[in-house]
Amino acid sequence: MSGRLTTPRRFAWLPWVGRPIDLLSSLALVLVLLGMAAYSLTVGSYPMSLAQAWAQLLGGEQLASAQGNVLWELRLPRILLAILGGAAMALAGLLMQSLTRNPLAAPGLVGVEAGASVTMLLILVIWPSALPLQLYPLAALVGGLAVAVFVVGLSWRRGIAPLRLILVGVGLTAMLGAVADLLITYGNIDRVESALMWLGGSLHRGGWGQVQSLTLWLLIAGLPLLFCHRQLNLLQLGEGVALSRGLNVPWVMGLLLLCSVMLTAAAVANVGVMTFVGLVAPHLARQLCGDRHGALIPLSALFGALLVLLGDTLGRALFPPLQLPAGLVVAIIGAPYLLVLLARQRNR
Amino acid sequence: MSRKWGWPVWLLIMTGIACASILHLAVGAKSIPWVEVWQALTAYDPSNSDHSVIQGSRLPRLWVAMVVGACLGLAGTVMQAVGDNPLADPGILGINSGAALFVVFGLLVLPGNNMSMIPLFAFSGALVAALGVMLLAGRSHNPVRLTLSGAVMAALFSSITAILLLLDQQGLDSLRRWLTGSLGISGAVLPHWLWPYLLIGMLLCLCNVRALNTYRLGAQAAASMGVNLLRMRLMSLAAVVLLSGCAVALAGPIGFVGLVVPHAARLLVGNDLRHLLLATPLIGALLLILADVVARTLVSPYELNTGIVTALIGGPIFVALVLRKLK
Amino acid sequence: MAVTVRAFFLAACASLGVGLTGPAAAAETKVFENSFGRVEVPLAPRCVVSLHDLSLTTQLLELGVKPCGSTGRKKLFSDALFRGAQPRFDVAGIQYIGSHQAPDLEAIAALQPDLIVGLSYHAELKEKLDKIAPVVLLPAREADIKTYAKELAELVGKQQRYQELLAEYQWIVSEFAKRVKEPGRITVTTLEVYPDGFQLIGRSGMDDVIADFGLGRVAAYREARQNVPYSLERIGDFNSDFIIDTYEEMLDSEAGTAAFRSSPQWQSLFAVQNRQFLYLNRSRFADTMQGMIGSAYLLMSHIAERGYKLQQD
Repeated sequence: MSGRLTTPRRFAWLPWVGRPIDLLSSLALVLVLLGMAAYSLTVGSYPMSLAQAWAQLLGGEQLASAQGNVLWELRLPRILLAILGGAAMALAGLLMQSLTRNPLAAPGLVGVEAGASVTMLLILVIWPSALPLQLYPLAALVGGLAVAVFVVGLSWRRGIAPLRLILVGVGLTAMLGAVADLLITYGNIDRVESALMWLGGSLHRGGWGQVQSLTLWLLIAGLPLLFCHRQLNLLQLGEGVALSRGLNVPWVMGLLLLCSVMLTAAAVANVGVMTFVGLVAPHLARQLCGDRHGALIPLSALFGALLVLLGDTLGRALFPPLQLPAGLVVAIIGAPYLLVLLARQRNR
Repeated sequence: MSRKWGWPVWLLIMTGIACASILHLAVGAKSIPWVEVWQALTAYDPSNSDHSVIQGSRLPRLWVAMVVGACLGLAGTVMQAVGDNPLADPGILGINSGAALFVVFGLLVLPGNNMSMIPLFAFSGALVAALGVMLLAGRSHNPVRLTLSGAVMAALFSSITAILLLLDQQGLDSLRRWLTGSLGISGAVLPHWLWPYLLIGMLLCLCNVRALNTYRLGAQAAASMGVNLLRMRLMSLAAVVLLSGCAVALAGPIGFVGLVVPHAARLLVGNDLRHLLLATPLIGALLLILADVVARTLVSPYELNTGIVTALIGGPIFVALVLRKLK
Repeated sequence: MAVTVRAFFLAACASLGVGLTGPAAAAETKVFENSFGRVEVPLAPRCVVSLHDLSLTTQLLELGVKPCGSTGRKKLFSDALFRGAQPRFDVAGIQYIGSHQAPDLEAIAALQPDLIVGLSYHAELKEKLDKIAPVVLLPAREADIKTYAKELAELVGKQQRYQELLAEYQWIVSEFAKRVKEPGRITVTTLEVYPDGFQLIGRSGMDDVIADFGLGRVAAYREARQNVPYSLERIGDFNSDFIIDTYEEMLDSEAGTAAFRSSPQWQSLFAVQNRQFLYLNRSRFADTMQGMIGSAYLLMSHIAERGYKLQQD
């Protein structure tokens, strides 16, 4: 295992180029993603062929037409959001699974999603005039982060104790779920409706603002991960090994956990709740490249993007004009796969 | 390890239930003097509206709370014993959400059904969820793995429920309260279908008590002492499915009761399952009666759903248990 | 149906002297202003999209404007239902565009509307919808029915029809005042009973009508909050001269509450004992002008034109 880790790479600064097969699979996934995005451009209640979409994309001056509006204001930001949100959730999930060394850890584990939901409900139900509309994502982010910090603080024991983290997270999430139910049942129905809309189907109201914000968060918390593969590989082997290799374990774990929490919070705030992406995408990536994080990080992000894009496209196409939230569609596609995969792993 | 304090504990539990029941009857959205409460029980006057509140709405609700609490407490105990896992609970392991999904599916999608089919839907849902969690968690006695498997199953079932309710928005109105666990929903009388399932579920637990007790020593020890492990697991599964299915069909998904009750019972009567299986239904009933009292008085004159109260109480207890057990 | 829409369209275009090129691009516009802001809207909108079926779509139909698209309620395996509008109006030709919480923006764009009307909570979608057509938000939940219906009538140029509806409503109000002296002595409670609780709701403009008739409320009602589940035990607090409940055929609500209705708690209510309990269809009318007129006639027949007993007597 350690022999593999120390294999010299041709391009140390581009970890995933280390093996041609990883490069190939990344390229193949990028191509599939582009194809999916192109197909997704033609799906929707507004009829548009690929050729028309292409012409619109090239000829920016026709923006005033209804078709251009649908393409530029409705479909394109939505597709980009799906890709970015999927990548963020997948990365967050991968980090969580590596840190807790548990294949069932989801990015919402430390209560980020529940915290964001309760914050939004509190704001919309109790102080609806407290914040302007543009600051809602930020509020969700802050709420999610606060709960995550609380969970981490509770489970802290000279460093992050994965077992305690997971179980405290599950308990607190269930409790926050009850608080959310409370607010939903006893709040003013109009305000609750808008809070639920905001939490549930955010992708369908996604605009360029959300795309920008999510891109920013991915740059801050996602991009640096590409250069953390060595630390993750070491952590995967166990804290003892990591320590013996000169890794400052509590610090590294804390930073990586922070990255995961930030990515989850950003995705929840801009796209809505999508737990299963973070669960399934890393497993899909592992099927291709095993546990090597150098390749696992970009591949998981690509799989996550692909999953959410697929989920959103299906959600738009299945029962128009009803729109199924992408996160729910991904859950229904992803969960059976996860079940089969884990049942197979168990038998080994 | 057998009994800790003997008969005073049982006396305490029974007194607790009696006091809680009287409290449950006496307090509520409408304030009724204690004398009236007593008269409503002893000398019932149908024309008196206070008496009718007690006899017509609080007493049935008390029975529902007792039955649901007993079912959930017993189911939780069996799950914790057979799974050898202190964190098992029908709510945390996704069994309640499975039952809820099947009930919603049955009521909304399958044509020509009525409310009497609810228990059957609930049982099948509970069974599917239990099998799914077992498949995911495997034979490992790892509480984390089991808990996470449950969380995954619960997430899956609740997203399918959410999609169903999105596709059929008319159904959402009628099911919204039921989905958060409400004791008042099942009406003025306990339905007749309940008793056979309930009795079978409890009998299965009782028949299983020897095997489960031996199983505490470990699977190998139990097998060498002549316990049929497969039979024990199947019977436990059937008992859990029947009991939590009954609870869901009566009151919707109510979480954390099955988690908290066995721990409280172990503190009081020790680890012997013969005592535990007697104590947990009683303590479960007591806990749910108290939770329902809180639900009905906390935001008076409005009412909380009991499922919300149990989650608010049970969540911190779960966290505390984790923090204490995993140093 | 398509023929009339088309004829309407042609007439509108002809009267404005514009051709069929470009949706509303060359049409004359006016500025519409209400509490949600100023919007430039076409003088005679050709295709209106309504984001709420129960109040806006039905009110538009009552004013004589058929929206080209509307949100609705979806029931599994069956067509969408435009609540309030069906079966009172012919809804063929109204395109279903999703739920009022999450309408399908592309389906709206595909209709190429020249006006979109929504409620206050659609403000979040306004930015995106504005790129499709001018969006006007109406205070259907903040103000009473007459106010928002008047604004809607101004918006689509149907003031004449609105005045007719208003005149009919005011006639009923004056008739009621003639027949019932001291209406404030009669207490009325509007509620909805569910299997595990009840809420204080007066649908179909019933609460507006009760206020306009000058009918009284019991003390508990004046302090109560609406849209919050009450315990059934508290039903005695709302023991008023008249009790108005509603049922929904699709939900089987009568069977669901039968147990409670046979209980002494319910049976001992003054309104129930004196046959002054009204059980009405919740979906008969919507929160619209004609809904108010319908509710007003119902109260007229059941209170003013019938002998009644009062608790005070």
